[in-house]
Amino acid sequence: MAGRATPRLADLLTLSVQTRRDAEATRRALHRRDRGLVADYEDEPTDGPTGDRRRLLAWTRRVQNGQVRQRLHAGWWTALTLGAVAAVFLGVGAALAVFRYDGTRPINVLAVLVVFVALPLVTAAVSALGMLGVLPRLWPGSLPGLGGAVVSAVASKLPGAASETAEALRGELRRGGKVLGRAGVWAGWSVSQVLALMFVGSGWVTFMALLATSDLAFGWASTFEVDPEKLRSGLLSLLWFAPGVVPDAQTVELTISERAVPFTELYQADPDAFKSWWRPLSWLIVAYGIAPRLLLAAWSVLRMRRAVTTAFDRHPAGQDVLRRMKTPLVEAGGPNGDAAQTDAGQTDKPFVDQTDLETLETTETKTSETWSVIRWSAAPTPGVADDAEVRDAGGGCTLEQDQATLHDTAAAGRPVRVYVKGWEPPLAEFTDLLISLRDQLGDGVLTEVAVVRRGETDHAAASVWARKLSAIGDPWLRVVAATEPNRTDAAAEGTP
Amino acid sequence: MSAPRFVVVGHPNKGKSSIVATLAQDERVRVSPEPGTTTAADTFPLKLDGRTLYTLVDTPGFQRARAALRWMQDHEANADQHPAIVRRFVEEPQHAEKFPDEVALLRPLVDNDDTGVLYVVDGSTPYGPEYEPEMEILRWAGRPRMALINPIGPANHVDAWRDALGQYFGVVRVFNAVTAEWQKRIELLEAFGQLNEAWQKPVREAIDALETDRDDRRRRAAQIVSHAVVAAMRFRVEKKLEEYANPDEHREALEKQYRQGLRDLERDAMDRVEEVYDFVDLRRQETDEGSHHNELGDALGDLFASGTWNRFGLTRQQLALMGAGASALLGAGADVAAHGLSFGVFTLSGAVAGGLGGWWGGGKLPKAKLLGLPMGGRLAAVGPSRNVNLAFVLLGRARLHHRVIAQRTHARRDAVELPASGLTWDDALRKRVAEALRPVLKHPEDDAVAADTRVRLEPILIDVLRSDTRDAGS
Repeated sequence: MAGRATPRLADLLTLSVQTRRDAEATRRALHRRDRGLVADYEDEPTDGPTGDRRRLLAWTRRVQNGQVRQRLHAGWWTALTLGAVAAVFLGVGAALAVFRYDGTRPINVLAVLVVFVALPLVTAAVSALGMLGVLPRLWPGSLPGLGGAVVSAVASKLPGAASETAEALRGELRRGGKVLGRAGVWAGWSVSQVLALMFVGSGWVTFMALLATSDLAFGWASTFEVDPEKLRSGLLSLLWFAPGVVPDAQTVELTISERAVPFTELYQADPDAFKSWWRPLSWLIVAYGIAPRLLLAAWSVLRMRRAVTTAFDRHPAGQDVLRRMKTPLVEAGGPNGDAAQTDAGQTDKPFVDQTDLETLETTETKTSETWSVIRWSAAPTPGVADDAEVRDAGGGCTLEQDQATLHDTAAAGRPVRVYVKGWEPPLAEFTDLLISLRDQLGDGVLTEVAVVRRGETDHAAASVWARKLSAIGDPWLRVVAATEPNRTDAAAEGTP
Repeated sequence: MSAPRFVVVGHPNKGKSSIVATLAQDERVRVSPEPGTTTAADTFPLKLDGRTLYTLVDTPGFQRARAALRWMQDHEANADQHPAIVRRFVEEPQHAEKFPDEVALLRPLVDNDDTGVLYVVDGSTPYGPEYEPEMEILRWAGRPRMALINPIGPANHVDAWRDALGQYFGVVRVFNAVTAEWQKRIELLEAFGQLNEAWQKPVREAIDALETDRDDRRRRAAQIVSHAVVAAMRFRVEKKLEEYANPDEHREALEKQYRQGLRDLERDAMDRVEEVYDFVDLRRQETDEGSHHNELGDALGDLFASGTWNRFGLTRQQLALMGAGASALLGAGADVAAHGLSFGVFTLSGAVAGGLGGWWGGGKLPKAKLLGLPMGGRLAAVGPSRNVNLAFVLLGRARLHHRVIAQRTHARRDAVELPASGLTWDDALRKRVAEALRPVLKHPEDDAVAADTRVRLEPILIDVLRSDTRDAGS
């Protein structure tokens, strides 16, 4: 991606806004999203601040299909345009007021100087002090606080996107710390300089327009005692670069408007004297109203860009995004991917069902005279007399041997005890055999399944047998526990 | 070649799902002492940027292995046709009903040529003849295969199993899915790669990716801990009092609120560290106050319990040394200012005062204090704490918590067990941490200083957490 490597305010705000929106998303979802954006930028340099910045810029333009940035960018320009329009209206309005001329009274030069030269100059000086860092030292915390208050007051009045941008900017001012807050402060300075420029600039343009379309006459008057000579020398000092445009002493004296003689008569006597003021006024507005603002606006915009770039490079969220973009996404989860979103209730919990264990009884010795004994899968047969006949099934037996055991046992017609290993789970092939056996034995013949346990650790497993076999629902089938004698858990029993 | 698949098969209830849960680092895998929990084959792919490097397949256990083997033997022609017969067995329409478990577990073996078999047995139960039909069926399937002896219980039958399994499997390994340390898991994955030469590359790539991912998790955990500790050192609660209100009535409540706030900060950080390691289901229990406690948080003991600070914080000697060092430095400044005329008295007295302060003040928390307000009324406030030992206690607990979580497998469903001994702070490490924390202790109110402290603390913690988990076998 060959793109500009200079972040704009909208990029910084996108980082800030998107980070807040991402707060509820899982880490893996964010990683998947951001890692997915990296494919397009693989030809970028992988190291160094420029490469990282380019990646991050690409991210701000791509995340959420670029809608967040577009909205913030549009919001920024909407707010700026609305402010500029307001400033232009104000400038034009002020110009129409101070340059109002109906032929009965001259335009007061001093009023023009106050509105379009002195006022802009004083506010420009305050701005310059603020930008130089003098003001914050005199009044610590004032600028971010004041800026935040102004933005906050304005934000609610702005349309949607602009309001969102203003709020994001306020957020940066409020919690951004030195680096991020500075970007916000410089953004504030830039806006104020541009708006002030719009005010004075539109006033000057209005002045020029009035000059071109109507016949204006200028004079001067003040409640205070103003010496015409001092006025002229003051003007000469201010317009040192164009002394020729300053009216001569006689003209200055002549154009005092507060006289006993009506203005119309004076004007008739020397109209050029009353017209000559437009040049110095025009120069003064340009030199002291517009030029400083232009310089301050250029400076503040430059500083804002630098601050935005610094903040963008150091934004903690930016570092997280970069890490997600650069770090390969490893997904080792299940079919649905995001392990972190597991519904806790779906995960099985360990259990030892003590109530099931209580149903088990310790078996007593049985003999083959009264009971048929089946040994499933070579299970131990505790409690069976040594000379008793034991039939085998399962495990290493063939299916035919199983069938033979089944047939012989059913034919004997005696109660049956089947020994099974408590440490092995009940398999379907066992329940298949048991159900066949029960079918052949019929009601009235008891069948016990003796679950042989070796110790405490088999208790839980034995309870599993009880549950599984009780599910068959046969009243002539019961489960008993048998403990293998002389066995401990630690004994290595080897093969049966 | 497609990515290899490792199909985990075996008798029911022998830890197949535990092995998958541990290797896939996914606690959602259904693990239960109840047999038959897994009723269908589930796939767990390991993906790197969306590209599957290998897939683990969890399967139901054999239920009618003898009957299934008999069917195959009845259809046997020559040995080279065994895999085809297994395929026929799976595809036989009636078998879906008659042998649902065998069909479900064998289907992944016949569907894909790049498939390996991991046969799982429980090394704590004796070997029995009922396993032989299962192993024979797997031999018929003709896939590269490995046997895993997973000792679930305390008894030891591993040798008997090893002898028996050796007759059917080229590779036999012991792997405890519940307690396996990280390095054991990696070694097992490496062994998967040995089953087929073509699988070595993707498996190696997967291992590298997992190692990188683990390091990234440690980094994120360090970030969380660093944020929490800095937030704790800046934490403050306050209450505006009416002009004539009795401050003593509010003092205790405010101090309690302060302690609870710190507990909440710590608990939140622990939850987030657990989430980093994909644990979202560590059991919780509700306390009398209605707040939720993580069982591990409870096992660590209350943050403000009497033993906690001794266990996790710095020793009195360390605190005294640290206090003496800092105060001596200030005293030395005064001596220099006096052009040496003070003969080092300031340095000495600073060291003594600082040392005593460290010795006696190490366990102290801030008390409520009263501040006047410009517009009238008073403000009762507790915090922020200037006691560096609070940071060390929090860090010590965070380190232990992290180590337990980082080593815990996702197959575990039991309560978390903590090692009896805490993790120690050696002098160099203690100095680095104390140095990093110094700015926020001096200027807790300054956001920029806090951000800077976090930035300084984070790399130290990354090293510490890395070292902690390496000690534990990673």
